[in-house]
Amino acid sequence: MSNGPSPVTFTYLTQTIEGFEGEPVAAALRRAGILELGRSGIDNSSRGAFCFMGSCQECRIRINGTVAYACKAPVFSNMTITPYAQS
Amino acid sequence: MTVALHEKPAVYDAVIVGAGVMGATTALFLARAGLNVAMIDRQDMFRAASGVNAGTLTLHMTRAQLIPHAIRGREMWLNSAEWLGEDVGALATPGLSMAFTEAEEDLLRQRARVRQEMGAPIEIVSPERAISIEPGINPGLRAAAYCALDGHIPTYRVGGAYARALKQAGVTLIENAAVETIASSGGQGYEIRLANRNQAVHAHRVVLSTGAWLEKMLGWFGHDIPIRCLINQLVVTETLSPVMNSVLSIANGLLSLKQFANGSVLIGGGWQGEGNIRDGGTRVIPENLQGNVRLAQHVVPQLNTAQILRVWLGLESETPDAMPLIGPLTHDDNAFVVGCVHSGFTSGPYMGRLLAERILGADPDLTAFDPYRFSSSPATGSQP
Amino acid sequence: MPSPDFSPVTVIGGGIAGSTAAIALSRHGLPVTLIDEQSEAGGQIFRAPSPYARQTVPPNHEFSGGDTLRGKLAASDVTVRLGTRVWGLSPSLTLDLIGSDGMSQLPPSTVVVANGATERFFPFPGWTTPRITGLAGASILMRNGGTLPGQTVVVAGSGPLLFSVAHQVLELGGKVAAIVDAGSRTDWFRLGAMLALDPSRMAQALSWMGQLRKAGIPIHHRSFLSSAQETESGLLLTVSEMDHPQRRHLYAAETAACGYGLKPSTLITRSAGVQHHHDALGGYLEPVTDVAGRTSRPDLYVTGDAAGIRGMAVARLRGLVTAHALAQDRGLISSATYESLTRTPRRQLRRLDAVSRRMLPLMNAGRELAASVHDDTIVCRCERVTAATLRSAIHSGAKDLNQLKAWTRCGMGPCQGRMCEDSARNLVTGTCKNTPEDAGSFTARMPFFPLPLTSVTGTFDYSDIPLPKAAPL
Ligand SMILES: Cc1cc2nc3c(=O)[nH]c(=O)nc-3n(C[C@H](O)[C@H](O)[C@H](O)COP(=O)(O)OP(=O)(O)OC[C@H]3O[C@@H](n4cnc5c(N)ncnc54)[C@H](O)[C@@H]3O)c2cc1C
Ligand code: FES
Repeated sequence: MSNGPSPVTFTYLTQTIEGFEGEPVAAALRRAGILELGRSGIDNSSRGAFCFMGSCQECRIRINGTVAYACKAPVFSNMTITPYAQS
Repeated sequence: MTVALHEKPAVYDAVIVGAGVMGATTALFLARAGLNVAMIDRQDMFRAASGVNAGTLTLHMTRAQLIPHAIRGREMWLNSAEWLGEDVGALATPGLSMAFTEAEEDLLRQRARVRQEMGAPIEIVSPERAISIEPGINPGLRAAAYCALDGHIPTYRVGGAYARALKQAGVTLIENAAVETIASSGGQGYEIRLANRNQAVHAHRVVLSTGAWLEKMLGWFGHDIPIRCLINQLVVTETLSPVMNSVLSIANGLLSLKQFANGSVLIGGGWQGEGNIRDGGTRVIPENLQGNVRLAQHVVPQLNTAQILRVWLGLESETPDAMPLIGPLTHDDNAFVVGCVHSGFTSGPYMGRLLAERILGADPDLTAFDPYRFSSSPATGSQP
Repeated sequence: MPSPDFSPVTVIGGGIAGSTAAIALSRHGLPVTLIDEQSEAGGQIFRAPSPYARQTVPPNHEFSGGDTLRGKLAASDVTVRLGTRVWGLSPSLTLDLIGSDGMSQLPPSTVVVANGATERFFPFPGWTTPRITGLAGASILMRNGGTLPGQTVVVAGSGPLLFSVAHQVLELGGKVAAIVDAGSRTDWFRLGAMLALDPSRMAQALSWMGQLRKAGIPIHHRSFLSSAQETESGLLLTVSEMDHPQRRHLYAAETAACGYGLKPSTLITRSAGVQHHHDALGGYLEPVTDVAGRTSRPDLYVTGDAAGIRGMAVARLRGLVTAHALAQDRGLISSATYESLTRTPRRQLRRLDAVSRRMLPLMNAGRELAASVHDDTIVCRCERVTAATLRSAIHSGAKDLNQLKAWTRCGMGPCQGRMCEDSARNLVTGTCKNTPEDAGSFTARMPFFPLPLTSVTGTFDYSDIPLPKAAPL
């Protein structure tokens, strides 16, 4: 591989996370030890990426305010990630 | 009550055809009065209008003439533990109907006046007052009609509650069996034939409560009443933090908006999809989805953070004069109908109880609902 | 031969089957649009690795296969719309799409559904914690994301994916605390004898199984993850034996991956109203298709795993055969040409199909688990519906999945029942006498996944809203 992955940083809530451009957000967060991506709107229990295929809907987060799937949305430099808050 | 009959009688005292809120309530009160009752549905019970409706208990959208009935029905829902045996979670809230243009304000005032006359405690309030009642609404409104008697019910809890109550009352439930013919069996009541079953069901009396499917069956009893089938659209969002407390609508009645206890917001109002009584709802019309949701977002701007979870279509029935059909279909008082009630979920328990009372010999005033109004010979009060 | 019909074809899903079909269809001269929700074609198996994964994961057959496929697609005349999802469709097959460019519609066309599979899950206490992922999910995270689900992982569920996931964990330098398989050892051996016929991944799974055993990793057959408890550093996992429920084994691990085989993704085919049937061997619903993927609708074909789980080799062959059959149905090739073009693939298909069908019971080895799940266990993750709630609704008369959904909200949440439908069905069939056919499946409703409300409303003015005529007073 001529040029390897480019390291970037982004923000999760108030934390600075190191990741690589183009990798799924959930992967970068997981290496940073962040597994909980949100809470159930029904019982407030902790939830994270489960299916990694866009089925379970439990990995949803907000990237710069817009709802996205952490299991597939790619990391880019300086993005700001917040939970997809349900009620 | 412990009259549960475990042996199926050869001839039921009454067979209810159509297991929605109208038929099931009629069945329940007949069985509690000691009759042997069976209830038949072409699919599982409470899967048509009574299982998919918006659960608004509102006087803003009910036909003005039905307001007294809606008030009684609403009370029954709020006290469901008393007569149904379970609290189904109905919630009393205020209701606000809003006007955003001059024309809408005129309409709002005119409609509020008629409804007030029919007994709905509706008053016109200023935008400031409306906002103090419901802070989340669009401050651009011109006026609102406020009604203290409004509310909603989580529709999904109703079917199971009826199933348990009916079982306890001893009603025999026959599901997934469409009624194909009803023939009078020589003075011995009726023979009811079902799809996919060899065995016919026999009954002294029948009650038709098949909602959007009534037209053909009414014809079997000599009533040619065209039943219009509305294909109502509903939209529900994912749960979100509280954005409203009351039931919201607009002057022309084409929006119903509320947030349930779990945080999800239900958007309805009678926008139409495509469908028919054979296939059910077949297609959400994109423009109507967009229009309905835009209207909701206009009324409660904070909905812009919501996610649309599901859209569905439900079939509602309407007579040519948009008034219900409740009462006898034959002069010998052995066949009855209950259905086509506007905002019928609200008044359903009351309407079903009224018909049960009529069948059991009481004489409630059903004149306005008489099916014979569409033909020449009135039946009300007639005896064989 | 009918006169040639060159009207457009839309392929939903850019995995092996869909991409192969799309390329072949465009070679027949048809205007083809391929839609896929991912940012690159390849599907689940040939999913494009992230730049990070290209560096951390050793080169493998899936990477190179995927690159080749993407190359062929790029060189073809297929119009590829990536990052685009189908969220609804009309009876005439207008497709409602959402993508980075917002909402759009595709006018009615012949549709080839190649949207693959979804993983099947059975619930256990604790399965909603973020420390637990699906088994296929863990594989995607490792292959596509080059990232371990955790430093130590318990790998549980059923089917060949168990061993490939365990292998991937080791490959990335992680530890496998245990492998928990609902299938029996004899099932695997019986299969092993037959796999001489199949050069593909199944054989590989068996060889990995041997390697993993040699590496001293405990493998429990006829066993399942019966609970997961969070601890300070991770999970305490209980493994129970299916035939001796009192025999338990405890493992500590940072995470666990658990999944019980795949099932065809049927939301689209169900909402298009094509005929489906319950495949008893696979334990899932699948569209009724002929060998070429024709369905009960002449304008809709299904190919690849969406027509029944058979794996990648079959997916490619099915994609080819479907494309040629469609070309024949359109009058673009004669039946003789169809015969000669598909003779070899159809022969291969017949052989591989038989082999891969034998895998289905292994994937479905956990089928008895949902019915016996403890009352307190959450079955529907989205709406938090427990087994007790479902059982009580079934006792009240909800013996069909839609009635069960209507009365309990099971399957009403954001995932639209994708996570819980199999468990709900197995609970019904395990609690009352209903067969899977009687129990049915959840009615598919649009949108197929949640949509931001503003993507539907856009920017608008009150006067833009086409208010219908007022309701009667
Ligand atoms: C989308 C929607 C939203 C609504 N929102 C509200 C609201 O917010 N508030 C309100 O008050 N009202 C609302 N309504 C109206 C209300 O739901 C209905 O008025 C009420 O439920 C009608 O009850 P029913 O028993 O007459 O009909 P249904 O509930 O439709 O019952 C008729 C039954 O007959 C059965 N049947 C049909 N043919 C046969 C046959 N051949 N053999 C046997 N059985 C047969 C059907 O399967 C069905 O179960 C709404 C309606 C819809 C569709
Ligand atoms: S992890 Fe399930 S949708 Fe992303």
